[in-house]
Amino acid sequence: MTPIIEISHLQHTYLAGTLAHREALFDASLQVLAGQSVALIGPTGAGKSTLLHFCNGLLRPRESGRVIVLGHDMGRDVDLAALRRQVGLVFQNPHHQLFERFVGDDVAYGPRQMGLDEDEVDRRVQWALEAVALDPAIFADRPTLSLSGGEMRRAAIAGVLATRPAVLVLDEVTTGLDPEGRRQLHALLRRLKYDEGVTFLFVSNDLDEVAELADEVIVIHAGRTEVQGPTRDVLADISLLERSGLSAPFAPALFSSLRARGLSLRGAPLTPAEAEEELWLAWKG
Amino acid sequence: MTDTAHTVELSPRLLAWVRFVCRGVMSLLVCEQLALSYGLDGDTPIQALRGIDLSIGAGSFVALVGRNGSGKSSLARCMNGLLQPTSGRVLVDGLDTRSRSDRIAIRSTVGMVFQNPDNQFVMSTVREEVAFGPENLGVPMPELANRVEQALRATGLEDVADADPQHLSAGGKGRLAIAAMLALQPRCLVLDETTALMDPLARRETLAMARQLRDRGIAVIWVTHHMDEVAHMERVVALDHGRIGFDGSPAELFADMALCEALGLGLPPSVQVAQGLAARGLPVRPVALQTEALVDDLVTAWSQRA
Repeated sequence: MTPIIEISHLQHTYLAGTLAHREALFDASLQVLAGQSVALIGPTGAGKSTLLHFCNGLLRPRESGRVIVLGHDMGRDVDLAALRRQVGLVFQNPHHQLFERFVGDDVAYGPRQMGLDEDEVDRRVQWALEAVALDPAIFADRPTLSLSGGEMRRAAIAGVLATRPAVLVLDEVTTGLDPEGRRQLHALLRRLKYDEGVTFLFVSNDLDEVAELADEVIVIHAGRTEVQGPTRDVLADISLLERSGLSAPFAPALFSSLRARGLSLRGAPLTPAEAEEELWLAWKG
Repeated sequence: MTDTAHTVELSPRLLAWVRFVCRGVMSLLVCEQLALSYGLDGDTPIQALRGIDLSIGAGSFVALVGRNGSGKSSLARCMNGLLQPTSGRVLVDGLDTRSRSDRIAIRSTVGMVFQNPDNQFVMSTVREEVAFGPENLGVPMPELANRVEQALRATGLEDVADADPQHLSAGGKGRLAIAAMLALQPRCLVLDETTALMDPLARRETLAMARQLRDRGIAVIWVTHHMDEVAHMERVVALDHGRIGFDGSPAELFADMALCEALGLGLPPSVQVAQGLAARGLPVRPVALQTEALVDDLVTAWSQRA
């Protein structure tokens, strides 16, 4: 299968050639296959957001390294407008994304830019707001600035969903969402993945969330991608996570403490639900 | 006649004295029937808070939780007068937040740290950033230097005092935002989702730091969506559509799954697993607030079975 996104040995320096230059990526590589959901994890400042910004052409490879997105070599001339219709990016900070006065108009912005007729635009706005659990009847006419932090976050996601991209690139999008909102968003992402074949690349600081959602995990540390592998392998490798400035998610950490206290347990649970199941099976013997 | 004149002259001093004596006993922060609505030029006003009664004593460690839009940030911003009540009142150390003349006293008693500390840095070194607040309040020199050094020490930032705030790690920035508040010698700190953008290690570091401040008698109000953080606090206040939906200990809250559900709250993972196992008959306490408690219970259960 050809990868949807393929980045190899990418290097990037912000404000290169000026006194304020700052190196962000030294050697970053990753691969995302069609229909996959891949998580990018690493401590703050590791280069996660920078790497995401290469995926829809916000940043272009200038130094060394190659970025191929949906078959386009991003180092060459690419029709960015067309590409961004297929690759939706949700920023870390919703303030960077919301600019219309009313929520409904903000969500409609993308579909309108695509030249869709107003009926279709309306349908998409309704669908996208419902998808992020903002009741269109209440929220479409709400001023954007009247939203709470979590509601802004949802509106920003709706704006990207409304363009129906085939690839979603998400930068810490559950930050600031309440537990219910987080569950709803997880369910939505799973639906998009399994029902519509949407491909995901996402950054998250919440490794329990990564355990729930990702097929594969990439660890990035100080501008270098350390490893890409199946979620179960990467998240169970506590020493790798700690070396990379991260801490293990709940279930692997629980099992590791129990083993250290002399319990012999099989299995490598990733989520609290899996941990409960494994412990119950072990207890029954 | 002379008597009245005498009273008028003495009363502010007397009040200050009464406040001083009552410090330990009186609540530091009191909200009475606090209501707040946002009117947006002609649009129907949005009721963010609908009658909050709350009192927080010195040195308490309180988690403020609730759904998106439930009023957490609005309440936090009322606590130091950044927002004024539409009705009801907020008293900080006995001072009404609506009083203009007490504004400085109120803001130095209750410090606020926001979600994105970058938004609040203005100076070019860590030390200058910490000095900025007290310097602007006219704190004189030897005292100013003392306060800055103390705040840097309390937050573990002495070694990076001359660094540019923008070059700190996420956890470092969180600690700097707290240090800048500490230099104002507040008696209460309100942290509005300060850890939301932090990686897990930085989050843990900031939480530990807040606990140390609490141990030194500073009241900490911690706004969060992370239930594993809530498990570390003494008291949880959960907002529900601008009203108080729960006010009690984390253990009480997490023992009541229906209530958690109704308030839109999750369970910390350790409670989730412990409750599941307890329901299936394993001898573990269902409300394991910390992973260590669950580990202890499981180790005991296994050893007694064998």
